[in-house]
Amino acid sequence: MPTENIITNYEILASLGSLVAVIDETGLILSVNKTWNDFAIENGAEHLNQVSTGSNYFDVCRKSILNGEGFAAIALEGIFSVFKKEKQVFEMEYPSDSPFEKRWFLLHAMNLNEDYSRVVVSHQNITKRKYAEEALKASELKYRRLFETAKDGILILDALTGKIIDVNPFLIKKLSFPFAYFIGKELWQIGIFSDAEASKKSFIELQEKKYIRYENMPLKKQDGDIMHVEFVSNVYDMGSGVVIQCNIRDITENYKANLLLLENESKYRLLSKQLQEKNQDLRQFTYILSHNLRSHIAKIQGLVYLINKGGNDKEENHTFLQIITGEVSGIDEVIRDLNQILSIQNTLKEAIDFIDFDTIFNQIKQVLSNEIKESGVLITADFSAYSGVKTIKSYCYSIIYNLLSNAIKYRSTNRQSIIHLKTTSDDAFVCLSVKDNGMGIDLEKNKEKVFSLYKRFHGNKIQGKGMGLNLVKVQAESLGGRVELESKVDQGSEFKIYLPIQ
Amino acid sequence: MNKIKNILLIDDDDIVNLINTMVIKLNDQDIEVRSAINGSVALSMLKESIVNESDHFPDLIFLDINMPEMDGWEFLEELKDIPENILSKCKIIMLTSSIDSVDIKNAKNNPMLDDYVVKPLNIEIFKSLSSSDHVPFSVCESSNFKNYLK
Repeated sequence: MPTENIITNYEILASLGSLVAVIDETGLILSVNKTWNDFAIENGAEHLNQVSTGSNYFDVCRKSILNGEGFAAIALEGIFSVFKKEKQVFEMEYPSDSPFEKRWFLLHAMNLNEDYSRVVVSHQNITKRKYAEEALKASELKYRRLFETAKDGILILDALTGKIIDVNPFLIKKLSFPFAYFIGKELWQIGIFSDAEASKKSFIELQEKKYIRYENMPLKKQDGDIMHVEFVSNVYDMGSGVVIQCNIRDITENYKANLLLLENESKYRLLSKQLQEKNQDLRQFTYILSHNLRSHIAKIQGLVYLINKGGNDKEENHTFLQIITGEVSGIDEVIRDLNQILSIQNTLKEAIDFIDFDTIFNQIKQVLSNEIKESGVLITADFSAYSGVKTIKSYCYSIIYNLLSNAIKYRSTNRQSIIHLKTTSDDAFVCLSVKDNGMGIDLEKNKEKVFSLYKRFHGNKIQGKGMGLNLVKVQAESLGGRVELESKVDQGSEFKIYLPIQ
Repeated sequence: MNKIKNILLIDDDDIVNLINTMVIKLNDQDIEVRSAINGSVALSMLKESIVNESDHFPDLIFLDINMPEMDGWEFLEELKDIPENILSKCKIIMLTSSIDSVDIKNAKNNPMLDDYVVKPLNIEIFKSLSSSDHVPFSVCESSNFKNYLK
């Protein structure tokens, strides 16, 4: 284009903001641009020949050195190194204040178009850039201090790669890993997050939602201890790239206090439950005292009253005495029963052994062989799901004996009686079930009384005193277990004894 | 109320029934005393006596609480089937060995009952119960377990 030819190199040089001079090996200034001269005049040069074309650049530098401006020596040496072809380009930043303002310049020196005997020296005012840089530095320092002195742990991650780019001293101290341990690793690589898979998922969620918060996250310290933290992550666009900031607050003390609180609460709840049960037992004993024990005493009182009233013949009085003797034995029996049950509830001194259900079942079948034979009941057992349990043998024996003996006693007369024993288990308990097709118990009416002492549900024709099921319950509970019953009148019953697997 | 002539004892314990019969007979030889071993047996007897003219419906019933099959409370529930005009002529006394405050409270709250007596029965108690000016629960009130009710 024609305009191109008109624009001369001189014009281009004159329009540059930089001060440009060409010097030879002696430092003689061969040429300068307009900006150079303008600057010289603006800055109070009396005669341009002192600093412009024809003057010596090196001399000016040396003068500055004598004035104590140390950077002039570095500039001089740098320019020499370009003349000596040691460097292709020499650059340095230096301050040069005017009476009115602080200023910085960038000195640039390079050969004039491969002519090694001449060097182009340019000075560019970079004051604005310097100010901006200093402001940035100050701001960075301010935030750096926050980061360094924060009383929360902070991790900075590259949002794209998930790699850690910074970690603050607080977290380093808290987790006792060195700084280098964190840098360049992904969150799930550093091992402080115990569940790597979950961490990966969280990271993906974070990338999508830009925010993630965990109220309680366990972190593994270098010594293997677990620190509980509140973990908050945010994604920020820093302009130069997207980062993730993770704020990590140690809540271990709180967590432990809470845990203790919960523990205590459950302890108190258990205690309260035990207390309620004890109260229930106490009510039962009061009931037995006021009913069962008193019934014997009332009869003795009645008979003594009749004897005292007179009018009975000798034989009658003898009969009364015999009855009184029987009632006294009755009182003794109630007291012994109560004592037996109390001793089960209060002591667990008996040895704990492994009980094989099959063995114990066969022993009991042997003991009950007459009853089994006479009643014609069919008894089957399958303990394959769980063959035995560690427990107190005598209690376990008594439980199975009572349930089996009851199932025979209260069989149905309308059909072939079948009794089936089996075991099942979950994580904590083995369940021993004794199921029959006998008379059953009306649970709608008797649910509360079934396991109470001296309670009977099938009249007085069948021998018994209503103690067996109470024993079963008391023994199962003192073994840390429980009893459940499903029953339908004239269909049968299923007793389930849950014993803890130790 | 007229003089007591027929009494029904409802108790599963034969010895109790024997003692009660003897105490009643000591008081009055002519009273007819029958016994039933539980509530359901007693109920059949009562129903039978309504149908059968020769059977007398009792003037007085002594009722135990703890009995197998049908206890005293259940018996009282079932008794609601008996016509009111027949039942109104019969006193029902809870006669039990229980000194349980819950039983005493339940008894006092049951409109079918006339009194609550703790075993053993004796002539003095029987006299006050069978007297025509017996006030409901007067025996119970005068017993030494009164403080249970507070």
